[in-house]
Amino acid sequence: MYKYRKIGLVIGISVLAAFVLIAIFSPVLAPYDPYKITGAPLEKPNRNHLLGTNNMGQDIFSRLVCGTRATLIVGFGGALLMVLIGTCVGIISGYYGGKIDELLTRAVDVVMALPMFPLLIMLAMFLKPSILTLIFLMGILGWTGCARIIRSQVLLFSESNFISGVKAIGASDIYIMVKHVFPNILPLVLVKFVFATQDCMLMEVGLGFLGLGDPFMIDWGQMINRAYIKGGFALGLWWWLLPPGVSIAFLSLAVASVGHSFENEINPRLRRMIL
Amino acid sequence: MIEVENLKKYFSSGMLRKRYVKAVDDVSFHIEKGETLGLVGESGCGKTTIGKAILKLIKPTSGRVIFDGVDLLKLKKKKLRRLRPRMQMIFQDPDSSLDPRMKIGDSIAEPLKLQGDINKGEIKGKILELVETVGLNPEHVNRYPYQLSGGQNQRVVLARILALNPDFIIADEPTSSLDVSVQAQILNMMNDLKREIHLTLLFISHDLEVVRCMSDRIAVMYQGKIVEIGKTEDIFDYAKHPYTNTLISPTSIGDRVILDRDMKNASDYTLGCVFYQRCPFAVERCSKKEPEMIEIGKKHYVLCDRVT
Ligand SMILES: Nc1ncnc2c1ncn2[C@@H]1O[C@H](COP(=O)(O)OP(=O)(O)O)[C@@H](O)[C@H]1O
Ligand SMILES: [Mg+2]
Repeated sequence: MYKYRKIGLVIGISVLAAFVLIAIFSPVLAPYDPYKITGAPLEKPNRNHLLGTNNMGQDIFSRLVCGTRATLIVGFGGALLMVLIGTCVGIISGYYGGKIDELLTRAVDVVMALPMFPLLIMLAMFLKPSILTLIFLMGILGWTGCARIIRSQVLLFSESNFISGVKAIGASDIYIMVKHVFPNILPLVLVKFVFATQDCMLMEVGLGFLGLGDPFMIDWGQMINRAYIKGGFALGLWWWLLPPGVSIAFLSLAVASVGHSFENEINPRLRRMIL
Repeated sequence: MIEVENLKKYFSSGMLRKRYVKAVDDVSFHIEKGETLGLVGESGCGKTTIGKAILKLIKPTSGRVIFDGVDLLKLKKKKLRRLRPRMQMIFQDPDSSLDPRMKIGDSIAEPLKLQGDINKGEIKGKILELVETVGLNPEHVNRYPYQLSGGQNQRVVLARILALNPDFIIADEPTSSLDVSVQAQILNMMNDLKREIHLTLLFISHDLEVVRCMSDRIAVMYQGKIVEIGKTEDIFDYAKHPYTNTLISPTSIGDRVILDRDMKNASDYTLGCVFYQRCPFAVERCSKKEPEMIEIGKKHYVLCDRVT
């Protein structure tokens, strides 16, 4: 069992690393300018165009490579913001307890009750669509799960003797939260971050499909959308429709696999720390 | 040095119908400078809660704690923080008393760093000195708490506390989770330290023998109340409260003690003596009227109406 987990982690990280490298070096890796018309419309995969061309004669492979960036940036950026807000709220809520905790828990309940994806769609429609907007929206709508789980962990922690001990030394609350509480929940924060990344990537592609992505960037969702609308699906042009879908599926699986390995690695550790 | 007056700590539980656990109920005592007061009582009677409430690690329901002339419970947060290093607490479970992600050396250095104005070289020297004082090995400094035994961790806690030069230490069953041999070593060490640095100590334990070898005076606690307090010799030779007697010689009246299981939560009772349910000498009036603390000898007080 342990071995399988390890294999999962290695594969997951390798795939993820490959995507990151592709994203970074996409201008070099893409054989053509993804915006330029470099062939006849709707070419089948051939030696010049690995995945053929779309209805406008743009190279699909180049567009696929260049689309990696948007998904990764929104995925990591959104997750970072989510986990940042969630961790701060969770630590403050769990550490102070009492009135502050009640207030923050109420806030978490309210935000959590909002239907995230529909709201995301609405807000994205109203605001100027851009990568930063997407990251911002995902961050402020998606932090609650993280906050809740971190809070319960910190709550357990705050009652442990060593926190009392540090308080007795005369340390300030901020010091205790930064120096003692945070390092001890860091593994959990990492796990939350990885899964949040997966969520944000999927949402990014979903929004792209709905035409709410950054208009100045190529993204996979928008590619699927185009292929679907312009008849790629009806005509059975799999090389147009499939690649972005398969890419996001692979990426998402890789991230999930990393997350699960982390989670398994951490669970026994967390248990030992608390007991 | 330290005066505790009418200290109460009630824990409330239940959302709709509030229930209260009177963990500490109207407790008063004082400890003089350089003196050790032992606090005994069975598990769950509120010993740890008293300790934490005195240091304000939990907020007392009411009462006063006066340390060196200052009322701690009225103190502003900032001032309290500045005063805190002078009062320290050793907890029952050494393995949870240290940050699991901090190396032993860093744990010992932490109080020094928080005190400020001390450079790295000095800290290093001080750590080694403290490590030696508490009988640890210098190579332990680079380990983590889970790599050490309970006894070693308790020594680390002690080193950390000694780094602050405190005036007052609350030791909450510091050895009850350790092996007997280690227990003796730690107790001896604490006794030596007490003499050397003139510590004032509140020594908590459920074990009367351990308390006996540490304390100048002993307070006996039952269900949140101190039922008898006096000099160690007096407690052992002239114990007056029936509960103290059951502790000293469990067989003396043991056969007559009634242990009513429903009374586990005797704190529901607001009337009468806390020990009424288990007391072999109880008369009807004991269930109706709360007894008062009476002085029966020099520095010797008993919470019982049946003592004359
Ligand atoms: N945080 C808490 N919340 C609710 N009840 C508590 C809490 N801490 C202690 N108690 C209760 O207070 C009583 C005294 O506990 P404690 O002071 O730990 O006893 P001791 O240290 O003598 O074993 C117990 O009945 C315990 O259940
Ligand atoms: Mg206790």
